[in-house]
Amino acid sequence: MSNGIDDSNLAMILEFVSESFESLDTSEPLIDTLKTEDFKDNVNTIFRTFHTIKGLAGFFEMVYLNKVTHEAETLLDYIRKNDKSLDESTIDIIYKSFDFIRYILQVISVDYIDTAIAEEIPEIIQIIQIHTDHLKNNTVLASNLNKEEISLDDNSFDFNSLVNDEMREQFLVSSFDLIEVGANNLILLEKDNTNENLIAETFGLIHSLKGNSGFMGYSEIEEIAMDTETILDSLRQKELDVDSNIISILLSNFEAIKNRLEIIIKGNADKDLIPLINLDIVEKVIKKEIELPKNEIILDKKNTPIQNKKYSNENEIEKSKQGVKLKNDIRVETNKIDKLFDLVGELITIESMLTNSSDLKNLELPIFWKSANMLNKITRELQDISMSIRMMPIEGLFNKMKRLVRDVSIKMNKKVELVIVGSETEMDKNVIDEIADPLVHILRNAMDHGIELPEVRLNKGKLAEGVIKLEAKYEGNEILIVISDNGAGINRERVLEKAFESGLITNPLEKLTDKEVYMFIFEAGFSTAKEVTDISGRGVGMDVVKKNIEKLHGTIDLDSEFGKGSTFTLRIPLTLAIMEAMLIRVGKSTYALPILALRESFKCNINNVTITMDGLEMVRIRNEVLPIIRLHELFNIMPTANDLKDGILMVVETRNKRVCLFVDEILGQQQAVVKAISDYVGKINGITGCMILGDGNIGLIIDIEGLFRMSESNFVLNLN
Amino acid sequence: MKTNNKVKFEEYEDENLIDFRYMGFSQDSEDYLIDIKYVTEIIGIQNITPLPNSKSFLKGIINLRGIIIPIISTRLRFGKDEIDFNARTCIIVLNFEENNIGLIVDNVTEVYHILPENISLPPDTNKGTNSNFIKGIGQIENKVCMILDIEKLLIDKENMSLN
Repeated sequence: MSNGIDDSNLAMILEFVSESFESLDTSEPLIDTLKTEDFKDNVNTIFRTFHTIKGLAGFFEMVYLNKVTHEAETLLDYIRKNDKSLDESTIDIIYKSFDFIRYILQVISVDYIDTAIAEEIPEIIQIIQIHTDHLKNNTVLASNLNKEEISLDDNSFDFNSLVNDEMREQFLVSSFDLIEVGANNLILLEKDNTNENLIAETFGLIHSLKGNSGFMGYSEIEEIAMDTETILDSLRQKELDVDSNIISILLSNFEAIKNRLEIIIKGNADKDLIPLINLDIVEKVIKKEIELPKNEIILDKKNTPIQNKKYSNENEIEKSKQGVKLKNDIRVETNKIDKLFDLVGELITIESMLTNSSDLKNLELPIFWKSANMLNKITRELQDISMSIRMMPIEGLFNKMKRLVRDVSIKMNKKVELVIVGSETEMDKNVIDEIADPLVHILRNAMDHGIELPEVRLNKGKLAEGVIKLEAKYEGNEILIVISDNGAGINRERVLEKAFESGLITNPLEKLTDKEVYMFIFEAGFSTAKEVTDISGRGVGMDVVKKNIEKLHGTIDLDSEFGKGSTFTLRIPLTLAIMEAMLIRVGKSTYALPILALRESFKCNINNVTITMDGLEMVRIRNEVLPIIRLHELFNIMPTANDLKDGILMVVETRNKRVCLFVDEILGQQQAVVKAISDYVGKINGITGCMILGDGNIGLIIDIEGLFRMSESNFVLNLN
Repeated sequence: MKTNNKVKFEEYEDENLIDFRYMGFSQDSEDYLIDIKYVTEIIGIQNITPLPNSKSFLKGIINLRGIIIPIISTRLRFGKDEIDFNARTCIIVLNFEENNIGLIVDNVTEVYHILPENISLPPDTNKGTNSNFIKGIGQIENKVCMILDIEKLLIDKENMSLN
């Protein structure tokens, strides 16, 4: 059978798999909300996910996937028809179905067919069936409830299958445009109230919206649009005069339509945002309004709800715009984007090679420079855009963490609430992929060692439910991801004890700052857990966190208060690919320092330099004394400046540590497209990568952290 | 002469035929061969950026049309002294396990066609570490050439890994 599949079919199957993964990812966070009362919309979304996958699985003749999704769909169908909130076990079953479907998809992505899992199928199907039957028996009585509502929902499903996704998307996008233009017209009309063109145009807009929504089967929007159309028609026929009240009503109708559109997009919008009753009032008012155009009492009454609505709607409008943006996308393979990005990198390099070319020296070329400046501007813009293509909101990753927290908390009998802030923060897709693992480790750790058991918490006078906060935000050129918990915090003494036991420190009474002590946690094999659980405690994990973050050129900070909780702060550069660099020269080699780490640079005054007994050179800057690292010594190069007074000192800082680098000369600032040095070479201490310089030669990019480590071990060597 | 004609004929027949072909280079009085499947191109000597604190035979990296390529000196790899670069010095760019790596050689000779029956195993005399790099001995007319074992040449078993 698999032999009969041709290439185009393979591509379709792969697309099906990736789309299914995506829709599972979007609906998974909704599962948890099913516990609450108002879950109807979410059940529908999950139902639809199963339904779509089932349909496509049938199309591709994936028998087993089809079977499993069918069972899951049946279960969801019961849930949505019997308006009843769910217990833990049902939710578990839904999660299990998600997991199993993902597993099948994984198999399909390799084999292009799902026959490999034939043996595992009966078990999961049985689990789901038993549960469905179980629910059925308990809810026979409830099935007679509210027939009207059920049939309404069924209606919307018919439309879902008649109208394909692409049509719906187009409808949504164009409707939002219509609404936006229409609302704009209305605002203009308020000032220019005799402009017949504006009225006519708006009438036309709402008329097409009415037609579209009727065709798509969104009867509610159609109705609102019709009412709006009637008012606009009266205005057009001059039966009504334009005044601010009418404009308000029209605007509120537009907003109501927008709100309904948004509900369609999200599939799970909170209906409270624009209550239906409000709409009814407005509709009634409109009808009266047409008969009695200037009734002040009614105007007062209706002004209040409208204004309230407007107020609550401001966020909504923003959201709905985003919603449309998300929908209006095309799928592109990541390797194409990577290629584009590489080419833009090349372009930037070539551009600077061209404009810095030595051939141009001492030439008067005004026209050339005009074009060169344009070229520069365009390349920068191109760079910005190609970079933004790779940016994705971190939401997907954070949503996965919800699931993790839920599973782990059940496993450990702990009560944990996960608070997520800033999930709209955008990051380079590669970076998001890289921080997934560290985040899992930190969260597991927080739940295992941080958050205490409910009874312990109550004894300590805390709420039984612990809180873990996951926050993402921008700070300068970096993204901060903060994971904080209100659990037990870190026991400094225990960490020190362990550090001594495992030989990380030689003297248990050594004076260390809290931060230095906490950093031991990131050492490989370090764990203060008394016993190893299947969640954490083996001491692998936190060192992986540190390594992964360092791979991204990021840093990790840990703050903790014993008994009150801990906070991990990850700082990650916005992008790995491009950075502002200060070029310096040591001997014949050019090096690049990340501008972000650079604090200041100065010619050294020899009077401010002291040499310690260990032979360490220190320089005093204002109130601070900093050690001097001679770059040429660390890198074994012959410098042109051997004397401190001949070269330049540069203060660099990372993780609150500062040192002075001694270099021969500063060459200038340049934007660097960071390139890896080659897997063949492996890791070079003190170097993170390289860049191509204006003359086509290569500059090595200095890894400040690595430099610190090197100078520390060098120093220890010297002492010995 | 007859064998030579045969090579020409095959060249005609299939330009992509790379079996039994070897890139030759000479160093001092010795001739070395590299299986041509590894060779991507040959370039003149370029400005090499040295890497601090790296293996002695690793001369540094070059920028070849935007691609960063590490450069190995065959002389240093064979434990010989370096000589000044001259007009004949060139870099053979190899592709080995998805990595581009350049070899500095004194002098590229030509592409030879050697059938397996004309290749013998290297003599088992363990006279030096360099003989580790030799995979076989090829006979070209009356010349004897050493076929290099690229894997052993590039990967320093004792103190370097391809990581």
